Amino acid sequence: MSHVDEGTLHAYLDGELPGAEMSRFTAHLAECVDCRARLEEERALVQRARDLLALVAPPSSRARKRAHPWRRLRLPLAWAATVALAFAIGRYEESARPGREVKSDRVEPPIVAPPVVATRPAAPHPGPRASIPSSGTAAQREVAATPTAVMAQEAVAPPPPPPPAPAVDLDSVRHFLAQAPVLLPGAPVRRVTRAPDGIVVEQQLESGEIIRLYERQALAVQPPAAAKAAPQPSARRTAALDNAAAGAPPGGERLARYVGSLRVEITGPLPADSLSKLLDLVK
Amino acid sequence: MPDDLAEVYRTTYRALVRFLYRKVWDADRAEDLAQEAFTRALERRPENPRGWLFVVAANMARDEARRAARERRHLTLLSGEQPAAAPPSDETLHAELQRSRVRAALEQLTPRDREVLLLWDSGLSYDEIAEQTGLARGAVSTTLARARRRLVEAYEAGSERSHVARG
Ligand SMILES: [Zn+2]
Repeated sequence: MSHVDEGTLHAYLDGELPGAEMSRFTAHLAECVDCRARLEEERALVQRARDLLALVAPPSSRARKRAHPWRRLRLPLAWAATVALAFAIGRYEESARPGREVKSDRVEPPIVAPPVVATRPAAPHPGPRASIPSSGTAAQREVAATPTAVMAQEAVAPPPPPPPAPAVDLDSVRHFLAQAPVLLPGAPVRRVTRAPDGIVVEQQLESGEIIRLYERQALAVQPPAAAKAAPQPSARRTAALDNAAAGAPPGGERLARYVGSLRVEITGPLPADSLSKLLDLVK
Repeated sequence: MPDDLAEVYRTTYRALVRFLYRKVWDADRAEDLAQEAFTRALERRPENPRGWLFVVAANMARDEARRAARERRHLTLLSGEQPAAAPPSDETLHAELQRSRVRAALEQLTPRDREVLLLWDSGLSYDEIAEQTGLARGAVSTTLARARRRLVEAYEAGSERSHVARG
């Protein structure tokens, strides 16, 4: 009987040797000292490779946050310097110092039913995105229909001031979202407005920068049945990223994440990696 | 999150982050991409979410490489202005050196060898790897064997070189 090949040894060590081959394998090993020796060599190799890979595991989030306190919401010079390169949506305003919530001195119109339902491909964007010309290319509209729509929007530079939108309060927002909105802990809420299918919460960071959280019910947008097919090598994603790479302003990033059943997108005048760190903090 | 996906999230999220980290080499980015992959899984509801997630993640990591140049500027800026820390200990330096050698060794593998090795290390079965890579199941074990050997050899060759270089 011929010796056991290398692949079989690895499959055995990985616990992946099919049952049919197992008896032949063990029978051969019982009588072949060479293959037993090889098995031990391969066992050491498998272990060594595993050990090496373990060296390049990412640090846990908690360890990273400990190791890099500057990543936290307290904005140190690092961010301030980067922010200075970016445009700012909002500047520090004395009237909106951290700690004071603006909502209390507003008159809140009651929330009515969402004016737009299930017009997914044309889903309007809140805040600065609302002013994207509706004559965007077909490609832009295409990505706008995907969960990664946000990436494509980056190429549109710098956002003009947001159009006026009715301000609402956090309590009434709960009805609309069917749950409390998610917020960045520790950052005062500056303004809450309604978007056609969600809400926009503006919060102010210590540095005075204003960031926006766009929130809507995750299940409000169901993919068409056709989208359930096997994973595609995401051509749309690529298009989106290519757009994104085409010179998006650092502050134009817009990142999305699910928090519970809410889809939350974040925009603001910070570099993308900082925004994504902020998004990490959203609870 | 639906129960099935919640379960996949629980069992697979860390592995997916690890898988991505070894492609983009940035822990935050890896987490972002993993989140994004789950976001898409939520909307697409693939039949085999686990395998699907790794395929999508691999695609995203590939796309991510194109963004890297653009983002490097920011990352440099951020890291360049970190508050001064105590100088790293010898231990830290040693670990850092080892890590960079493993990374270099991984990057010397062929894309296919690396993919199979990383997928296996992420906990996918031979069947899942075969399905995701298009390899025959029998080829998975030989690919893995080769990938492991080359990883170890490349790592050791790298260590040799640096010892020689240091005299
Ligand atoms: Zn033998």
